[in-house]
Amino acid sequence: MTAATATGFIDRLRDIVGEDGLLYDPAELLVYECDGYVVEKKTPDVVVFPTSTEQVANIVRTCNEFEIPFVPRGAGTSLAGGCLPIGGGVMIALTRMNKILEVNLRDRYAVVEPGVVNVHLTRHLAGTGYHYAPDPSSQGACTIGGNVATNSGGPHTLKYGVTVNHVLGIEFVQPDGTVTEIGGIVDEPGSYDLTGLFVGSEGTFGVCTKVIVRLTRNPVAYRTMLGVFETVADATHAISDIIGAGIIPAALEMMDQGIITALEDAFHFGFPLDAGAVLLIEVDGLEVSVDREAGEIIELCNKQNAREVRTADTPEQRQLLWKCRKQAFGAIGRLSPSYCTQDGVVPRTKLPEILAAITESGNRHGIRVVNVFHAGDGNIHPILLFDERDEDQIRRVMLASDEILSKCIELGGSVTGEHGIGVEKINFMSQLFTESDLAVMDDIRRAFNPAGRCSPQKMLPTAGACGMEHHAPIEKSHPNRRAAM
Amino acid sequence: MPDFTPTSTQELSEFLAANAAGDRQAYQITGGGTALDYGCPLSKSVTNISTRGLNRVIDYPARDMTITVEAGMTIAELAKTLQAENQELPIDVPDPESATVGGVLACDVSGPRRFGHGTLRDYLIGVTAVDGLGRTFHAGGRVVKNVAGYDLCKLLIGSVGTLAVITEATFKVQSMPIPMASAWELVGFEKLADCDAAVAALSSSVCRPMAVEVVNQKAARMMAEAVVEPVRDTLWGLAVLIEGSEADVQWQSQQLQSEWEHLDGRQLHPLLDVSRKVGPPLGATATIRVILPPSGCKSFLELADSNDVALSAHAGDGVVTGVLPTDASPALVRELREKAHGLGGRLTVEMCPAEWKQELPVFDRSESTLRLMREIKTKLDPHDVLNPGRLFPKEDKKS
Repeated sequence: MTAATATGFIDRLRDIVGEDGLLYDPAELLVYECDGYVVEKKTPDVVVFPTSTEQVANIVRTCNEFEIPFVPRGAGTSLAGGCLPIGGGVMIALTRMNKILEVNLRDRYAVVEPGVVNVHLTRHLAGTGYHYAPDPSSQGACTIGGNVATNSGGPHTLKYGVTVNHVLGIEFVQPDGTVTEIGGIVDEPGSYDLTGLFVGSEGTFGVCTKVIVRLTRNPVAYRTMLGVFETVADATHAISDIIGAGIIPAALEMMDQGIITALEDAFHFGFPLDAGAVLLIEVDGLEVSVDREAGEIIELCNKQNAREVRTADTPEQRQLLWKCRKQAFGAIGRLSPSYCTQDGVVPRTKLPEILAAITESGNRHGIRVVNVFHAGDGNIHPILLFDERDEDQIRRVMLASDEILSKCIELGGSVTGEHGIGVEKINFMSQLFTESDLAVMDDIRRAFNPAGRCSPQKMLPTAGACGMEHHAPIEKSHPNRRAAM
Repeated sequence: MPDFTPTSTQELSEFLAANAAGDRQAYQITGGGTALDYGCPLSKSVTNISTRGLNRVIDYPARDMTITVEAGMTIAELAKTLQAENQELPIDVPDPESATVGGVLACDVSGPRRFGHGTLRDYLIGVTAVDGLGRTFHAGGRVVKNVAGYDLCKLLIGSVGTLAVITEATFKVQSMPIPMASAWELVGFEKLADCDAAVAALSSSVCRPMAVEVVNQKAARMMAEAVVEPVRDTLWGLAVLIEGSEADVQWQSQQLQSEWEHLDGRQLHPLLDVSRKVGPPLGATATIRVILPPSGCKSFLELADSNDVALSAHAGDGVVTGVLPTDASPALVRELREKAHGLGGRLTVEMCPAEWKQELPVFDRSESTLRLMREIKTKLDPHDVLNPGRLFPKEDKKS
C-alpha cells in the first residue's frame, strides 16, 4: 500500500466526490495507464471525477496534505504522455465538468468547463454564424481543457491560429489549492499575459477548471480542393510555392500514398491509389475572392506537375474530405498493429528536405513511414508503423523518430508543433534550449508550482518533484530512455 | 550616468550579470522613448539601458513569412524591410519612426486594425531576452507553430520591461495582396444608439472589416484640427476599414453601403480621415484607455460623452480612448472607472498630471493576477533592477 491508496486518503477523496466519483480498483485503473502515447505506461493510484471547481480545489488540498502528486486529465488523447501519472498518485479526470456555461455572440466569447469536448462547442454554436476555431483531428473526443494544456492546433489553425490565440481567460486551481482567475473577457492592461503563459503549460501550473474562449465568425464562402501529385516531392514543392507566393489558405494538408490507401480502404472516397501524394487545400473568405485564390493555387499546383486538382463541389463532398482527413489516424489500423505519430516543425520552405529525410530514416531503419500532416505551417506528422510485440522494431522506431526530430532542429524547426513535450520529448528540451533558457522556464514553473506536486516530471528536464524525493510512489517511468516515440 | 547602449545580447547579459553580482543599480529600459510615461512612476532612481544599438535584421526568410530582428529596430525600419517583400506586420503603431520593436512589445501596442488582425501576441513566435540576473533566455523559435517549452513570448508582451530586456524578436508576418487596397467607409449619426446598432449589425454583415471605429464629435474635431481637415457636425461617427485586393475592397465597399441603407439616423459623408488619426492633442491634461466587452461600449460612451470627454473607440473590440477635458479632476476618472467596472471592463490611466498617480491606481488588475505577477517578478528580477515600480506601485504591495 502507498500513501495514495491508504484508506484514510481514499476516504477523504470519497467525502469530496462520493463513491461514484472515485476509481481505485486496479483493474479499472488500467484504462488510465496511458494516453495516446502508448509506449510508456503507469497507472495512477486513484482516479477522481470532480464535478465542480470547489471539488477540484478540495482534492488538490487533500493531495497536498498527504503529499501525494496529482495530474489533470481530459480525454487522454495527448500524443506525448502529457497525462501519464508519473509516480502514480491521483489523476484528476475532468470529463464530468463538461458544461457550456455561457455563450455571448455580441461579445464573441463562450465560457466552458474544461471537460467540454471540442466539437461539442462548435455543434452547440451551429446556426449562430460563429464557431470555435481550433479543430484538432481528435476534436470529436478531446476536451477544451486538454487543448488548453497542450495549446492544440488543427488543420484550420493555419489561418485562424492555435488554441492560445482563442483563449481569453482561465480559472484554475493552483497547485496549493487556491482558486485563481487570470485574463478574462477583456484584456488586463498592466498585467503579464498569464493566460497566454498558461496555455501550453501541459498541466504543470495547476488544474484548469474554466475557460473563456473567443468565438470566430464563420467564413462566408469556401473552396475545397484536392491536388493530386505523382510524387511527394512535387506536392511539397507546391506547398512551398503556395506559401512563398504569400497565400495562406484556411487549411493546407498533405497525405502520402500510404495514408491514401488506408483512407480509401476505409471511406471509399475515390482517392487515386496510384498517386504519390495529395494535398487537401481549403481557402475561405469573401465570396468575391475565394475563386480567385483557388485559381492561383490551382495554377501553382499545375506548375509543380499536379496530375489534377479536383474541387469539392458540394458541402457533402467537402464534409467527406474533411472526415477522411480527420479520421486518418483511425484508418492506420488497417496498415499496422501499432503506430507512433511524430510531431515536428520546420520552416515551411524546408518541407521538401524534411520529407526526404523522413524517407531516408525510415529506409535506414527498416521502418515503414506514412505521412499525413499540416503542410501549410510546416508541421509534419510522420507516422511510423510497427508491431509493439517486436522489441527490435520498437528500438528502430525510436532511432528513426530521434533522427527525424533532430533533423527538424537542424533545419531551424522544433520537435513539437501541437502535441507537446509531455514525457515523450523531454530529452529534446536540452537540444532545443540552452541551460539558462531551461533555468528561466523552471523558475516560471516554480512560481506556479513550487512543490512540484502538480504534473511532476513533465515538459522540463529539470522539473523534478522537489521535496518529494523521499516519497515512495515517485518514479520515472523510463529514467534513461532517450525520448521520442 | 550616460545611457548604457549594448550592441549585442551578450554584452547586455554580461552587464546585467555584473550588476546583479555588484551594486544592483536600477535601470529604465528605453527604445524610442515614446512611452516612458506609461505605467506607474518609477520607484527608484534609474539610469537608462537603451536598445538602440540593437537594430539589425537577424534573419528574414521571406518565403517562410517570418522575420527575426533586434529589439531596437524602429517599427518604420521593420515595415520598410517587410515592404520590400510585399509583407507586413499588421499592428498599428503611433509614431513608427521612433517606436521600437522591443518597446512596442513591452507595451503591447495595438490600434484600430486589432479587430481584424489581432494583437502582437498573435504574431510574436520567438524571443530572446536578458533578465534582471543577466540570464539570456530564448523562447519559441523561428517556426510558425511550436509548443516546445513555456510560451515566454506571451509573458514578455505587455510586461513593460519589468521582467527582462527583449533583445531579439521573431514574428510571423503577412503577405499583402498586389496591389494592396484599403478604404474607410464612414457614416455619421445623431444618436449613439443608432451608431451602436450599426456596430452590432456588422456582426451579421457578409463583409469582414479590419477595423470598427467610433468617435464622438469632440474627438472628431480634435483629429480634424490635427490633420487640418474639415469635419462635419454629426455627434457620432462610425468608421469601418476594409482591406484586401482591389476587387475585395470594391465589393465590400458597395456591400457595406447597401447594408447601411436600412440603418436609422445615418448620414453618409466623410467625418474624418481615420487612417491619419494622431495621438492626443498637445496640452491634453489626461487620457484614459478603457477595455470593455463590446456590448458595454454604448453605455460607457454615453456617460463619458456627457462629461465632455473626447472619445475614440475600437468599438468592435471594446477599446475606448478618452481625452479628458482640461478642467477634469481625478474624480472624473473615478466615476468613469466605476462605470467601466460595472460593465465588466477595466480602465487604465494613460497620461495624467504626475500628482494624479499618487491617488489614482494606474491599472485595474485583479488581486490574483497581481499575486502571480509578483511571484514571477521575484524569479526573473529578484533585485527589482528592471523598470522598478512600473507595474508594481507601492500601494499594491500592501495587499
